[in-house]
Amino acid sequence: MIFLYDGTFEGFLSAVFDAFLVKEEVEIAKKSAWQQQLFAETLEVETSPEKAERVASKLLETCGTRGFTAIVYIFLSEDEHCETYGFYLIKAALKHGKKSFSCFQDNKIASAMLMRKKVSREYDKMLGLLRFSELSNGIFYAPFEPDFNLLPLLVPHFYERLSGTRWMIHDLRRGIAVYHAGGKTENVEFADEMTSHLNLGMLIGKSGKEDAFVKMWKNYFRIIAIESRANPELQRRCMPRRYWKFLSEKN
Amino acid sequence: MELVEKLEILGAAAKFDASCSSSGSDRKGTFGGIGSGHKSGICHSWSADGRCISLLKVLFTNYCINDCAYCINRRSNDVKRASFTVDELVQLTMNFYKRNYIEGLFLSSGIVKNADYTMERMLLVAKKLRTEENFNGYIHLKVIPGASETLIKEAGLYADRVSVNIELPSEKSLKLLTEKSRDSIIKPMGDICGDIVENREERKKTKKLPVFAPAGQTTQLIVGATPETDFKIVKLSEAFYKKFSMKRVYYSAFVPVNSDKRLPVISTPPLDREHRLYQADWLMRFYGFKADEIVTEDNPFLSDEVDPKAVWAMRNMQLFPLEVNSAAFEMILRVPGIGRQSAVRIVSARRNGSLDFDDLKRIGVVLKRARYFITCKGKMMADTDLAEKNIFEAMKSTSTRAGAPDHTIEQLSLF
Repeated sequence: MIFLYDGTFEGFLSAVFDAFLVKEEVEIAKKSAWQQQLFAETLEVETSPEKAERVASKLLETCGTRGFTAIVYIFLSEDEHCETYGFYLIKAALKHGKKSFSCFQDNKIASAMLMRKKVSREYDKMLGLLRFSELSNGIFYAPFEPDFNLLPLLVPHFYERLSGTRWMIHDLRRGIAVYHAGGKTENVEFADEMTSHLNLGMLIGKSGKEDAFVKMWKNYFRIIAIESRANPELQRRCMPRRYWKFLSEKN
Repeated sequence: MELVEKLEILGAAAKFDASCSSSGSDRKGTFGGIGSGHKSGICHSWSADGRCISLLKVLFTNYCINDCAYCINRRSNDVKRASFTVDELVQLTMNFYKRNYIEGLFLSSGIVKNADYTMERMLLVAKKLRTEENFNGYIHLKVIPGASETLIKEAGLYADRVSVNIELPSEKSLKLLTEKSRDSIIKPMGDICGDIVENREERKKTKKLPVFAPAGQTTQLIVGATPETDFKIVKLSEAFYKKFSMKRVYYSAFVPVNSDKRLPVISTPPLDREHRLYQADWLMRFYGFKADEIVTEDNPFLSDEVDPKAVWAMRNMQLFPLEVNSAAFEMILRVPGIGRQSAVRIVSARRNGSLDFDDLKRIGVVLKRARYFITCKGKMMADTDLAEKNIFEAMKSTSTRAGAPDHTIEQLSLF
């Protein structure tokens, strides 16, 4: 039996709710990613905030923030099996408690926890590597193209940290963005699909102060290295090349 | 002088300070303010030498009344000199921070006039950031040896972390190469330690009191400029951790920048030795090792072929093999190839049932190393040859400095 949901986290939790009491083996998949298979029995899940809320609070209660966070990370990995394995892990955790999250003896759980680890690794990197630049309209704008869907994780971090600025973080790959001003955040509505993938910094133009700070940062980056310790391999390993695109110091 | 040029001079002048970390403080952000702490620290970039850039690390000024033999900024050197103004530093920090270039400011300085005068000016920067700019990012302030107790007290109220550099491992070397006395360095360390304890006690009564240096104190020393052994250095670090509850001791491979007949002539900095010292340091801080277990007076240097954890294990083969399904956490930590994270995972995973070698692999254990020291359900891994030569070769081939800086380990989350 395959449960199809709308692709949102709420939708996923609703699917978990509906699938929970089903005896046979259940897979959960995004409607959009689903390809018709012969003989596969499917069921469309209706997204329900109440059901999602009930699953979330039950998870928090039995697995703590740590367990709940693990489920969120697994979901954000967008791995093709993330929903099915995530569901499997949720079931195990509700039955056996927190210790299920470290059940490396179980292949599916080990795979799910690996997804969690990969997301967590990129999240930690991106906390440092995300770059804002000041646009002519005074907004600090950060475009990026993460492997995983990190935007929902980064927003709370920068919400606390950059409270005093107006900012926008924009995932160009997924065409989603969040805007912050005066303690409020909102999802950005784009005029069309194409605009949602465009680097708005190029459209709007940067503030007059921007170039001076970029120049100083680039210089600083260059002179802080000790020549006799040069180790470009180590640099690449810590800061993979695919992230350089948005780093002024590497351009 | 243009700000861009000042930053070039005063950034380059600070690059030999090894401390990079922005960890240990979870200062909260405030509404409308800028900045917040992150308990495990955040790296924002990596320079061409592979070291992480976390804080804007600069000197306030590179004018200095001292003439320390190893220091690029010593007064007898003919180098370009510059000084920031308080406002310039504040603006640089704020603007770099808003762009997410940095986690905060690391401020050190050459000594102008005297220790107190220099320290006061550094304090102005920290104070202005905190009180006028509403800045809650990380501030690491270097304490100038000889600065008065009152100033140190004030520093700890604005800074997340404070540090005094011990610079060299012995009093004799300090005397030979610097104009600083050992007392002028050790005394402020003791003061800071006392202030932290006192602050903690007072905060038990009134929670409103600001935390004194929430990320504690650190120090650093130069390795390879003077003849001290690894034994001496490791023992010294252990004393710092025990006596002063230091958060970190940094080791900095000697890079010759001056020609001075008091200094050794070397072609490359002793990076491998520095690496081994960091490994020894990690063993003491995260793996429950005592200095005496790592290196002894009779054999006072760490092996350059094999890492200190493997050396200890090979010397203590009578304690192995361990059964991973029942051994104590403290012993599992001591197995080469099992890091702290893996050890934590092993003890929580085995509550779900017993583990075999495939499970260990999934957990992240390096079996190439660990296989000689463990059993799973009473059996060693298939084809494990316990000949001494064999084990040594396996340890050696996995002991090279891959170049990974040890401090990245601190950034990993435990799970």
